[in-house]
Amino acid sequence: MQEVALIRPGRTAETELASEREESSLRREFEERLLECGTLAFRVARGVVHNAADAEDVAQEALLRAYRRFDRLRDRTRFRAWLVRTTFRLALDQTRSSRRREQRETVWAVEAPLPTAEDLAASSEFGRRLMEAMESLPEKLRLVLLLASIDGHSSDEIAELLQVPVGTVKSRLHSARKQLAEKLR
Amino acid sequence: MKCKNDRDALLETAAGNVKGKILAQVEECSPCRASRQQEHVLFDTIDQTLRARMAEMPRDGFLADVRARISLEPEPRSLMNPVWILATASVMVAMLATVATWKTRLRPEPPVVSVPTLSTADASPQPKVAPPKAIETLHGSVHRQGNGQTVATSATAEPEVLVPPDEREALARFITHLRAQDEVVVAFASPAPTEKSEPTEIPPLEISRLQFKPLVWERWRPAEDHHGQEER
Repeated sequence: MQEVALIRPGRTAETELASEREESSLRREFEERLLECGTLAFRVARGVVHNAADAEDVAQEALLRAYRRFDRLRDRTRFRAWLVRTTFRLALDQTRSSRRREQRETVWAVEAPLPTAEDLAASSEFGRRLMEAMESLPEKLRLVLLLASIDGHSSDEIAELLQVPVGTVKSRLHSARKQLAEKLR
Repeated sequence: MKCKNDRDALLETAAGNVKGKILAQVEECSPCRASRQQEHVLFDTIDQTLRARMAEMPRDGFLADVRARISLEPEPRSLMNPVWILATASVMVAMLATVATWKTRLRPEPPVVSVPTLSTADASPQPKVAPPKAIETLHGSVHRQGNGQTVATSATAEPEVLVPPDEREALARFITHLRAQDEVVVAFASPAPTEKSEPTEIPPLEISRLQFKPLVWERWRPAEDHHGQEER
């Protein structure tokens, strides 16, 4: 009995197989990047947005976008750099839109919901002030400071992630810390 | 020392920008030392708080959720897909063809060289040489299309000559005369004969018949007079 292979018209079986192999390779590579950079995306988002749930949403969205354009982001360094920048921008957008929503709701709400005991325990006064001060920093300084705080990234690693010179990273880091200290003093 | 004015400098040192002068002052001045210590504590607190916040892990199901969302997406396609390569190549060829056509249309028309008619005193009919034919030998054959556009082609057996624009007319005239078998022009254009001409034999001078006579004064005297009158 002869074996019959179903192929798409206009495409040979070899092309079909090569395409499948390529797609499988892409999926495998993306899974590797996901395991490696998933937490990084979450932490970058967490440094900007106010709660973990929002940070997860932002990180998911960034990873989904990375998957859609993964054919252009197969290089490891490029992927990480792109993911960090995209997550940071998405997180900033999320914060701005939630701030606008809060402002709208405040107009209509008679009473603001009181913070729970857990919230109070989790957030110290200094932490709150620190986050406020962080929000007032310029975006470039803020991102460098966030990355320096995540996993103890060195200036070289941050420079590679942001694709800027190491001197620029050091300068931005210094300015960011100084500005934060001035606001918190 | 004005410690109040050096607060910024202290902040710089606390931020990690160490300066020898300020450090020396901190060693001497106890309020400065205390102030620097406070700044240090502040910076340490900032760093620790940020690190603590940035060390937060996502919940366990986070990556699983990401995978679930990704599974709803179509497969990522590689740019090395043969269909894409073929499509890209086709588009590029089409673009190149368009650009080439566009450049050809933009190219300025080659100037039409008109061979001037030579007015000669000789009324005898000259041999008929069509002037455009002379141009053919210079620039290839020149055709006129139906739309009046002049198209020059180089499909001629004769060699082409590069001529500066200001010399085209002169060369066209030269070729016309060459075709008309003008002797001078033909001689000018034809290469010099290679065979050596034999020297003609000249008979030796016969000097035996020469006579030597003394000069006679009266013979050349009038001539001197004549010159003298002219000078006057």
